[in-house]
Amino acid sequence: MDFLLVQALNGLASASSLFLVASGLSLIFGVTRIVNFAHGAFYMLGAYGAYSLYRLLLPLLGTGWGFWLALPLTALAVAAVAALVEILILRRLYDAPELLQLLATFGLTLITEDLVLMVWGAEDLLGPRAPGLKGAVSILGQKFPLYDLALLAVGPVVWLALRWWLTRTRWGLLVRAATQDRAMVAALGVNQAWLFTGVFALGVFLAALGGAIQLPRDAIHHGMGLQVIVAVFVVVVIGGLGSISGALLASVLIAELNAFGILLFPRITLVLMFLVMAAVLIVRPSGLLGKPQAPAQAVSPSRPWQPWQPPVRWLLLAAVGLAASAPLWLGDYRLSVASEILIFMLFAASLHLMMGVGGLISFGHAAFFGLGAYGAALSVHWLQAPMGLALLNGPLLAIAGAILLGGFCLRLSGVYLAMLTLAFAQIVWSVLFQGGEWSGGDNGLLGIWPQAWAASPAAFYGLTLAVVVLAILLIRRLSLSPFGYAVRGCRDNPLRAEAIGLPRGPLHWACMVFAGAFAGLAGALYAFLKGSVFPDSVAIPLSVDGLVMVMLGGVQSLTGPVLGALVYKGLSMSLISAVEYWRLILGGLIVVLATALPQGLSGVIDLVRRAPPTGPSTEEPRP
Amino acid sequence: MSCSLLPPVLEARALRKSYGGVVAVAGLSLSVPRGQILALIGPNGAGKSTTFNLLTGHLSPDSGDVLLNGQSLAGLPPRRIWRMGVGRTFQVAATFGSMTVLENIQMGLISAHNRYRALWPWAGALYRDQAMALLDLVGLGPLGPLPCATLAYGDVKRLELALALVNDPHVLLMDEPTAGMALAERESVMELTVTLARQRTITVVFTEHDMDVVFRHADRVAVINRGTLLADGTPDEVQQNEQVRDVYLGRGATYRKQAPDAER
Ligand SMILES: Nc1ncnc2c1ncn2[C@@H]1O[C@H](COP(=O)(O)OP(=O)(O)OP(=O)(O)O)[C@@H](O)[C@H]1O
Ligand SMILES: [Mg+2]
Repeated sequence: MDFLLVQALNGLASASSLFLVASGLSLIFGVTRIVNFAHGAFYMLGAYGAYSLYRLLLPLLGTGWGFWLALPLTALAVAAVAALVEILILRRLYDAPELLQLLATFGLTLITEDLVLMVWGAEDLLGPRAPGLKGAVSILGQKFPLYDLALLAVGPVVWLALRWWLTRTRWGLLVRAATQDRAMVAALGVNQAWLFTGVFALGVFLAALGGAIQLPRDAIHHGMGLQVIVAVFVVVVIGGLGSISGALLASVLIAELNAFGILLFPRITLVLMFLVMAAVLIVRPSGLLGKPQAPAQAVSPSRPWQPWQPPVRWLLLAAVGLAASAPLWLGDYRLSVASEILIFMLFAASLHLMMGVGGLISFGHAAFFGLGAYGAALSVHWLQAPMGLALLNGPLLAIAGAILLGGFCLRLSGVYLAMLTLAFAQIVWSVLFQGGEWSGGDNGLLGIWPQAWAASPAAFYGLTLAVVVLAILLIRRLSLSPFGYAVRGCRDNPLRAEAIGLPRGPLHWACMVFAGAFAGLAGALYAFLKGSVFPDSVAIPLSVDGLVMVMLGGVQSLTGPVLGALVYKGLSMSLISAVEYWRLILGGLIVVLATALPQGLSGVIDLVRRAPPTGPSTEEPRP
Repeated sequence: MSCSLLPPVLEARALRKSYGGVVAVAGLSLSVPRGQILALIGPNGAGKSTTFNLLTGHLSPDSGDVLLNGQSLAGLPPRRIWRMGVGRTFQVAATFGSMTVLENIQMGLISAHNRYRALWPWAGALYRDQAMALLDLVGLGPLGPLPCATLAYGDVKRLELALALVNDPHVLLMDEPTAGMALAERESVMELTVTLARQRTITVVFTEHDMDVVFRHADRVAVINRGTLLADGTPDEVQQNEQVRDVYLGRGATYRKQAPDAER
């Protein structure tokens, strides 16, 4: 009993930090409508910054003052950096589709991660104990750290302070007004740009403080940003984006769930967290205390799709011909690199089906890829299935996953959907990672080689090329079929789609299942290409790779993503081997793409070609 | 006309709808006989669009019921109601932005023929002639290949009218069908609507801020204010009604709303 109480208190202490980060995220979202993926990165900067500032202040001020000043000063400094980031980068994104905002802030995360590596190195760092709060108190005979006891109070205190600020001060009032109705603030004659900058800085201040106060509790490491952002996404989704009280409620819920989950089901705590989130979203699609959001769009439907004109047709045919002749002029190693690129072309095309056609933002597309890979690998490993059957089982498993996920997602859209797909991918990952013998766990499954006839790199390349070209043609056919039009109609204008008899939910569900199937096919091929599968093939970085490929090529047409996969995969494979800080470069690339080239490479081609008049842009000038 | 003996095609019974504290529709009852052209008028914020959305299932009423040919529509989603032959246009025109003008209509026809699940045919090749004919009908014939986004607002409204006609509706609900149009164009669109309605015996309910248009084309005029029915009768009767003059017509000559371009 006593032990349970202490465990509950432990949970509450962690909840405080989680709440600080989550409330910052919610505040920023409420006013700017941006889901700041980089929030975890700022949290991490808070922890690292406090660590260094403390050591800097130590000789000057001694432990006491040095420590207690380092925390808020770091948070202020990080907030100042954030204000700069907002002014330089985010301001360009306020009217962009959500996908670009999520991606740009994800790019910032990548950049920060590498900068942290550069400055602080890869090793875990241990912070100082909190001066004055080093001891422990005895609660019902159990020892409980004094510092954690103090942390218990931080969450509620910050919550009260925020509530006071929001209801009693002029700025707070403006923030609330902006959260409810952006146009209204413009009407109030407030300088909107500075309001946004201020709110962003405040939100980041909270995140950095949340990171800094972790210093005496835990070792700090360069993965803590990504770790916390996933938990914080879950918190704000459960609490309701934009709701501070919801964030408090949900951070307590999640922190307690973790504290006790560790005791009861140590292997599936992550799954538990996401199951709770899924359950909440099904009952209340906008979270416990959130307000429904207007449906958001991944793509601005600005111009009609054009069928491939004759010159493009010939060009594509020539490209396929050239690709088919590759075994004649490429060595074995390069051929398997080429196979990998082809596989990712299919992956990008499948993501395009979901995002470009369906307008469904997915941050967890790797789930389908991974399910496909494991579907194939498991049937080879446990059932000794021949390659053909395994290549079929992969997509089948992915389809099963898509049917499950789609069922949960029917009522969601926009960022909520993006987060649920992310959560789904994390669940699949942790099931595979902690699966033990049947999935091979961390070690994956080895020995998934193609059958003799396809064993040589040239033969496997040929097989891959045939499958990928066929699959991409099918995806194209699908997007230009009545079904594809109907799915796109629901994306363009849900109101009109419903008013001419199109059932949006089932159509989007089906679209997700098709996209999942093709991603699964890519995954199955990948398993045979590598001869093995690992939980990595479901992880967040792969999902993001897919998004970048689609973005790089341009989400408006199918050729875009395929081209994007070629460029991106080629680039990243050479980068990873040649450059130490590839994340910095990749992150920079993403940020530049999102801010300067929202239409991707095909946008550039359009500009160069001076395409036929596409009508007034739907993007209006910023107010 | 208002006390027609024909059985009503569309009937609203004591409809109520409020948004938070704002009561948008406060116990509205209306019945529209077959083939009638009814204008629903009232000042801004009177509850016209809300009524439309209640009739087509885009909103569900707090209380009250909607009957189509005597059958209750309670709980049916808009797409079901559409399949029962109720077409509509929106105050802020709703069309498919990533499709051409022609493809918009083709999309509607594909759905009307229940073929939106088909995976194999090229959508762009389906029902082309029918779609062209519909475009010709509303006067958009030559604009078929243009992207929707390039159309003038008046043309978008015409496109919406064509979209509303794809499944041969017997009830047509039009929320400000002529907003954003010049006077001559207003006339021609209403002319077209009335002709079609007479030919095909379509029951039409429309809202409109231009009183000249209303009084020239409607068989019957219902005036609502603050969500309740203020007057209901022939155009002449309504024009004579003191109350209506007070709250509505009395404010000056013809009350005209600005083109809602800003809302796009
Ligand atoms: N989504 C909403 N949330 C809150 N209030 C709303 C909403 N939609 C409409 N209202 C309010 O309900 C009332 C009726 O609105 P409605 O749009 O039905 O009026 P209308 O007669 O169509 O006006 P207009 O001539 O401007 O189109 C108005 O007071 C309006 O402010
Ligand atoms: Mg209206």
